Amino acid sequence: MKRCPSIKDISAYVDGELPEARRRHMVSHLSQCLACANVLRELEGVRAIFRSFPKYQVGFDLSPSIRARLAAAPDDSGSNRWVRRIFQLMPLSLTVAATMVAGIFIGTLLTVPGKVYVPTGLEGQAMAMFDPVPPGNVCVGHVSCYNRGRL
Amino acid sequence: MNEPSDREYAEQAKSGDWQSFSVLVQRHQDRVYRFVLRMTGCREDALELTQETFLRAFRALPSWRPDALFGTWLFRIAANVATDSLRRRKLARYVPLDECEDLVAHAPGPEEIVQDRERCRLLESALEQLPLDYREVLLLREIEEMSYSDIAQVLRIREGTVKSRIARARRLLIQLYRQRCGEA
Repeated sequence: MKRCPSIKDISAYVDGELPEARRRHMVSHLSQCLACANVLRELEGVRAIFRSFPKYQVGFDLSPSIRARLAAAPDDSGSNRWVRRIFQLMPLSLTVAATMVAGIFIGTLLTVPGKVYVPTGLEGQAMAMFDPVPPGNVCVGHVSCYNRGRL
Repeated sequence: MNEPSDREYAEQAKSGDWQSFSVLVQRHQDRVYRFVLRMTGCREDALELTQETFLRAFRALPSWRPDALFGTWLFRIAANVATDSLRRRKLARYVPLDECEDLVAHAPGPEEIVQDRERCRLLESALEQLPLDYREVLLLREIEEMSYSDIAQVLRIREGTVKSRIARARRLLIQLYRQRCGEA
């Protein structure tokens, strides 16, 4: 006897999805092979049970409640979601931008020569008590201080 | 005069005509509900997910193309909605048939119900144990009676994959069904 078809082909036969030539071959094989005929019977049996499942229905028209939900909930899909997100993030991004501008401005004041008030004379000596290096100690100083003429 | 097709209603709904979309809801709500109910096994969830399917469909209508069958396109959304929900829950709760009796159904007659009930219960129980992708493909084939080509479109897989997945799902389902018949 010829080799038996796979269960994949028997399953496709049950569904009427086999090409005509293979379908004819399957019919001929099933008439001679008890094992394959049993597989077919089982598959058809399961199908029959599926077909006897109750055909549940919603029982009322869902469209009014869907319409109400559509009206209540804004469109959360695609571009709309991104536009809304951008607007939600606007205050945060403005705050971040303002902080950065302020930081750059203050930083510029500290680095541009002549823009910072450096006390000299008696006033400068009086302020020296707040220096992290106690009076009389040797301060190596930072390179940037040389640039500003502090040392 | 012939009733306008899904495509005509969908075209009108696409341009914002709610009445047309409402007709589509009425036409397809029971099929979507049955599919989602069999996937999730819970009628409250199924009602909620059916509405969610139509909500998503309405919002996605601008991307719908007339070359796609509306029903197939809708089932793709329903399958995604059901799968997302099940993955969030990590399991499917099934309602035993006895608890399903109060659901609105086409009653085939008391004698037939009594005869079928046990087999249905066993098959339901076996179906519950199937992996999600097997259950999904079997429901589309056996309950919705979709062709392999339509199933391939709904699940976005090749027809060859549909064919082998259905065969594997059936083999496993029969195995599980036999086990339950032995236990019963």
